[in-house]
Amino acid sequence: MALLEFFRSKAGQMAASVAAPDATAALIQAAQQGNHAAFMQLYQQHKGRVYALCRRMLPDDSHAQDALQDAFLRMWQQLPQFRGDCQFATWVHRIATGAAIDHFRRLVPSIAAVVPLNTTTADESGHDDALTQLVDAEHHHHDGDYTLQHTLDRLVARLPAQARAVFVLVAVEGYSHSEVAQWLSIAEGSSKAHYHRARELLQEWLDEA
Amino acid sequence: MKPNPTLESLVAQLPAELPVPNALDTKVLAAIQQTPQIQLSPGLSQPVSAPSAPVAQVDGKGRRMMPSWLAVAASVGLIWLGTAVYLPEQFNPALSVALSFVESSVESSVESSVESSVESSVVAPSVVTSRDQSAPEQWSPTVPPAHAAGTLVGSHTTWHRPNARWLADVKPDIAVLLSAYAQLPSGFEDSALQLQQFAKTRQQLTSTLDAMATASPKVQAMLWRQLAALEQRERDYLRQLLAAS
Repeated sequence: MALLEFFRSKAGQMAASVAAPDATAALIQAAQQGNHAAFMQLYQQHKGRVYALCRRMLPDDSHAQDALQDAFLRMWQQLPQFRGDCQFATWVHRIATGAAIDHFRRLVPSIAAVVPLNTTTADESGHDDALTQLVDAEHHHHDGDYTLQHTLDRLVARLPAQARAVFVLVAVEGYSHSEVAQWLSIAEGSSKAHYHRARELLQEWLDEA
Repeated sequence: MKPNPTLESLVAQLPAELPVPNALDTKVLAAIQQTPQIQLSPGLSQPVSAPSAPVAQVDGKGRRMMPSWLAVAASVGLIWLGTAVYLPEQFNPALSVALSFVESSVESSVESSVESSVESSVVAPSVVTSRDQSAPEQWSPTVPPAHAAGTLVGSHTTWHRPNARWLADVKPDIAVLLSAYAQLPSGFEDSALQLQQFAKTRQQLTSTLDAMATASPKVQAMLWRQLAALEQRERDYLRQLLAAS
């Protein structure tokens, strides 16, 4: 427990400033040699971003938390193979995306079985409430513009499952349709169609708002 | 009445991070404490902060090439891990060896090559978003970064295309796969034939790719995708066999 408190206090310091590249490299090297404390510091640096990806991809907190845990477990296992060919944040994000997609693929048959493609998921599940609370909690001290961001996150959570996944991966995370298609085992054209559908729905809902 | 902001501007303003419940810290720590890391064989690791002195060699044109001894040594290590970690009391060594190969060295080679090939042919500057954290100027101009497509910015970044160097990484695995499949015990005759067919098809595809090193990126990307799809089918088949054995 004391170790956890230590990690949390470290995380606070790190959130305030971007970690120096040398410090990060030292942490990576220590974690590669099996140092749990070093890895947990890296976890503290990246967990917020990984969680944002998982939460936007998956329908509720519980699944997002499972995906996050899975992602960091994979990172821990594969860290000795990280050779610095790309930035560490990029490597982390890549693994997190894989974990989120794996969880999504496990869920999507059940989602698709219940929810027709031309409907949205939020009304049936009410899952957007939790995301709304999270975003509210983070931004309640800001004014004006954050209302719209909060709205967009809520609206994204209302999208049909496939459309939401494609939209998050393409528009938010910056992946290409060819890559998304490969990951989700769909045709590239389908990825574009889902993306187009997501944009249409979001624009429609934004206009109504 | 204020005009609605565009969807793109709203997306760009989405928070990059969301708060994580503190309880997860404990879970993650507990999970990693119970899970061993996948270590490379001794002597194969290199310092993270030393990209200027890589293990990988560079050819005359400055392209990165993986030494064959490294590929073989890494594969041996992964096979050992595969048999130690993934296999229960009863296991089939030949299948496990093959699965380790298909899941590790071959896959990574194919993946990287597909990515770089697809990127070089279809990527457009317009797909760059604010979420891309890696600064292009920090990339090595000759090493394909193992991350997402859609991050090519500017004309100063030269993308590595799949070529004979990458194929060289894939080819030795085919011989090992064929050898592993040939060692399947009795009762697996049909499966051995099927698996050897997979390996031979892979060999044909890599030969075609090798011969088409100067073909257009789109054609090469198509071939690499076929290779990746084949590898996926092979992996699925191996998994089924392992589950059934």
